[in-house]
Amino acid sequence: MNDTHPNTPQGAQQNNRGIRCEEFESLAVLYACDELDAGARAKLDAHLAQCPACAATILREERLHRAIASLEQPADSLDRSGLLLAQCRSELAESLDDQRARANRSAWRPIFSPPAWWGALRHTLIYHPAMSMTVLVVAGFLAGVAGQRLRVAPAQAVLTRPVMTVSATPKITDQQLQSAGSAHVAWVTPSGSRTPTVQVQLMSQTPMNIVGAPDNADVERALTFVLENSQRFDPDARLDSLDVLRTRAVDPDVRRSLCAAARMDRNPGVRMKALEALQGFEQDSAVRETLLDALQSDANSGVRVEAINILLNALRSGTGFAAPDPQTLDVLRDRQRNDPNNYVRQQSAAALREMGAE
Amino acid sequence: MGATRGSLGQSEERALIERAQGGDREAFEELVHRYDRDVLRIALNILHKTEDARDVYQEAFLKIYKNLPRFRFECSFYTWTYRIVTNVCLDHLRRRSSRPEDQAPELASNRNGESMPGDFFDRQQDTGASSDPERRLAGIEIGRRISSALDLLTPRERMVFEMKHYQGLKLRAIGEALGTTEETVKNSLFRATRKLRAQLEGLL
Repeated sequence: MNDTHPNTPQGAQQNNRGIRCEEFESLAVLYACDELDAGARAKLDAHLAQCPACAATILREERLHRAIASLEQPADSLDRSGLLLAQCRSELAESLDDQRARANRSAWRPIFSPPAWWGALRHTLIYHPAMSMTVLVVAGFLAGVAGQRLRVAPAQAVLTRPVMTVSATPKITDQQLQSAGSAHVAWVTPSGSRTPTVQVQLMSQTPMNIVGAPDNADVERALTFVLENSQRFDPDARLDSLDVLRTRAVDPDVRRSLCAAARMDRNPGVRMKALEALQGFEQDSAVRETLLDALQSDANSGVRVEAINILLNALRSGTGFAAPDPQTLDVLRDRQRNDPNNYVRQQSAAALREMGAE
Repeated sequence: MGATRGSLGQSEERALIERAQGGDREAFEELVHRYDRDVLRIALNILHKTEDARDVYQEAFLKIYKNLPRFRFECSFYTWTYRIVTNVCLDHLRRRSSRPEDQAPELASNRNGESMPGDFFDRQQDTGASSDPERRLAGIEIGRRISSALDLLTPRERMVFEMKHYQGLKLRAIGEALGTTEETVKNSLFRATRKLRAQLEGLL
C-alpha cells in the first residue's frame, strides 16, 4: 500500500509498511493506551522509524497520557481517611435492614409470625401430653449438643491460631525513631518472591530505610512507632502501617499498638482500620475492652459500627464471649437505648439477643 | 476491582454469591466489602462530589441486592457489578447535565479534614517539579485544562475516560461493563482524547 503524508517537506511520503499516516491519529491513541496487539504495535514502530510527523504525534499522545496519569485522582482527595466508605457501609446496612423488615411485614407475616406459631404450639401441647414430653426431650438434647459446641469452639479457635514468631533483637535505637518526622510505608515484595517485603522510610536528619519481612523486629518497631504517633505522622503513613501490622496482630505487642490506635488516633479512618485489624482476637481482654470502649465512646458512627459488627461476629462465632460479662452487657444495653445511630442500636439489640440477655 | 477479584478464588466467590442468593446477609456483606472500595472510588472520580458518590454507592448495592437472585453466572460477578455501577453513575451524570446548578465540583478536604479552596485540579501536586516553579505552574495549568475538557465530555465519554485512565481497564472490558461494543468504546475514547488534546493545545 502506498501512503502519503501531507506534512512532510516534500508534501508526501511513501512507505510500504501497511500504515496510512491519515489513520495514525486514532492508532496513536490506542498505541499510548497499550491497546494494540504485538503485531499491530510492531507495524506502527516500523512506520514511526521512517515517519517523523507520526513520531511527533506519538510523542504528543504519550505526553498527554503521562499528564493524565500524573494527576491525583479525585477519589484520593475526597476520601483520604476512609470515613466516607465507613458511612456508606453503615447506611447500606441500615437500608438492608429496612428492606428485610419490610419484607418480613409483607404477606408472609400472618403465617410465620412467632405469636401465631407459639399460640398454635401451646394449644397442641396442652391437649397432647405425650407429644409435650417428646418435645421436651428433643429440646433438651439439642440444647446439650449446642452447649457442648459453644464450650469447645473457643478452645479450638485458640489452638488453630498461628503461633507468634520471635524476631531478632531490633537494631534501631529509640533516639533514631524519636528524630523521625515523616514516614513512607510500602509493600516492595520482589516479583516471584513468596516472602512479603515491606519498606519503611523514616525521614529525619539521617533518613532511615528499613526493608524486611513484616515480622522483622526493626520493621515491626518502626511501624508501631508510626502508628502510635498520630501527632507526628500523617494519616496515610499510619494507614499504610496498619495494612502491614494487621498481618502481625498475632503478636501481643502489635495488638497493644493496634488497641492504642483504635482508642486514641485522631483520624476516624485509622481508628476504624485498627479495630478491623483486631478482629479475631476478641478473647484477648485488652482487645475486648478496646472494642467496648470504641462502641461506648467513639464520637464517629462509622467506628462504632465497626466495633459492634466485630462484637456481633465474635458472639455469633462463639469466640471471645463465651460467658456474658456485666461490662459487655452494660455497654450493649446502653447502646441499644441511647446510640444516635439506628444501625448501632439494632446491632446492639441483636448482640444482646445472641447473649440471651433480652 | 481487579486486584480484589484476583485475591478471591472463583469457586470461593461462586459459593459466596450462591449463599447471598439464598438470603445469607453475611455473605452479601462480604461480597459488598470486597468490591465497595472500588465502587466508591469510581463514583468519586466520575462525580467529584461525596454526596453524589454516596447516593451511587447506595443505589448500586441495593440494585445488586435486589437483582442478585437473577444473576446466572453468565458473566463474571465483577463484570455484572461493574455494569450496574456504571449505569447508576451514567444516570447521575445525565441527571446532572440537565441541572447545571449541580455541576460545581466539591471542595475536597485535606488530611486533617479541613476544606481546601479552589478547583480539584488546582491542588494537584507535582512532587517531581516542586523545585521548579515554572514546571509546577505548567502542571497546575494542565490540570485545570484537563478539568475543563472533562466538563465537555458526554456522560459516556466521561465513563470511558475514567475506566480507561483511572481504572486501567481494557477497552473490551469497558465495553462489557457498559453493555456496548469495543468499537463504540474506542470511538468514545477517540472523541474524549480529541477534546482533551484541543484543551491542552500549546501546553504539551
